[in-house]
Amino acid sequence: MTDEQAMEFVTKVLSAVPDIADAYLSYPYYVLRTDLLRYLLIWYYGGFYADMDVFPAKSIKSCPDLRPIFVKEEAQKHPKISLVVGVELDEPYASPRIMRMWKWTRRYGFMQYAMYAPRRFSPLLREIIVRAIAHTKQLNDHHSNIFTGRPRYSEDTILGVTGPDVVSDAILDVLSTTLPSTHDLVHKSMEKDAGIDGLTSEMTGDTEKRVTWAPFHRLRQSLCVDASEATDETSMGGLCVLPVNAWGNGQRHSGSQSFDNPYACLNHRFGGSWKKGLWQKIVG
Amino acid sequence: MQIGGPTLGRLKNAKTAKPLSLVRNGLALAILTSAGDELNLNKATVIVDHGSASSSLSSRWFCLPIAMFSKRLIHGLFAPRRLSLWLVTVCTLFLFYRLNIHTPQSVYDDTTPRFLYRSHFRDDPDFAYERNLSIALQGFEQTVLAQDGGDGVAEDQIWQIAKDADHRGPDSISLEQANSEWKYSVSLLVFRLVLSLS
Repeated sequence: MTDEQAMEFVTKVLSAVPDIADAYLSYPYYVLRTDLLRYLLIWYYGGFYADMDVFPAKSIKSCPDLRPIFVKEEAQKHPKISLVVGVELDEPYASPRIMRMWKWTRRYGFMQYAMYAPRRFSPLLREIIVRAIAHTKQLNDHHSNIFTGRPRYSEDTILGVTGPDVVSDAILDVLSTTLPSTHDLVHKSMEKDAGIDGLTSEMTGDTEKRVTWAPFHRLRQSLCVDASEATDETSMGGLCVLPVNAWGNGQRHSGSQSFDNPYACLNHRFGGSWKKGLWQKIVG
Repeated sequence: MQIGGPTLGRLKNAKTAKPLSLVRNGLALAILTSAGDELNLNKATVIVDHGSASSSLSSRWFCLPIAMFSKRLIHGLFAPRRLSLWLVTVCTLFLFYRLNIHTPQSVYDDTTPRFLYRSHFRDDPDFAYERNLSIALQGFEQTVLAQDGGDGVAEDQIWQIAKDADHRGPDSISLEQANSEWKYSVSLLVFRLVLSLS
């Protein structure tokens, strides 16, 4: 029974888009399948996803940072939110030395061990699913082992194909392409970036106006963007980003605090159990 | 004079030409000397200096590390058949050192903020494929919403994914209990805690 229900969901309920099942069935590791499956579940059904090693500090509806969703007076300001994510990593000033010490591939990111979709079929989740499947196909087509014919999934690859990397990049890219250039998120991004991240073309001198991590750095309260703020209301679906201390406590970076801090709503045991050691890779 | 090996040299006091007592102790050879003795060892002259340390012994001990590096040992370490191994070792260490220092220190400790990360998967994405897939998903969404009706607002549900029944531990149970007004059902791979509509 282990995979049957997931198989039925992926291969029958979502059979109208066969690429989903093709990608899902191609994954050699459990972590890849659970990554894609969680996006598919809350994209199709909506709802709240949490990893098995997440435990509550408060009930979901009593979380202060989720007031924009659950408290009527505040929810009226952002009536259409399709996805709620939390900050997991927030260290844009980390040096290469620090990154190497922590074994980070990037300096910032949203988490995917807890996600909430108040509405079905979030365009943000759709883009995450599209990219996860596209990256899978890219890996299968171009990076197969010459002896086995199968792609090699390193830890970094897993993060980039189905993991938090693809979530973070998809969200920032969707915001960039759907919000007007006059939006506050774009303005804050360009103000902070000021020629650091190569947004100005050396050839043309044009500057790409987009949303970067800058507006989400050191969030103190939830930052919500309603669906109606996009140029096309259906293109983004609305997003709320929670500060790190809502769902991301217990880390030694990013301004994270302890599990019992008053802002904690969900706590995650950052075990990374899917990152197997060599012996486990051999014997399973 | 030979002691279980090649000649160590003329172990005689260079000045007095008197033979010196030689004691073999494990890997080290101790030569009983007096201060000021000159030893000729394989063409090298060593002046013995016992320093200021006093000893209850009437004799002076002078351990010659040089003795450890006997000719045989040296030849063994640098034998032609081992030179290739030495070459590989030195090259490996050299490459390791170079690879670790290729980044200038100033870059290694650079704390300039980076607010944009570009995954290598986005270096050359298949935009056509992604666009077509997105269109397919949107079509599917519209079909489902048309069939189900409603405005797309999700039911209050909590989703978790478990490998098997044993995979569901106390954390998952406490998550359920913290939201006790919800109904839930459990399946082995996918189980769903269904919120009852209030």
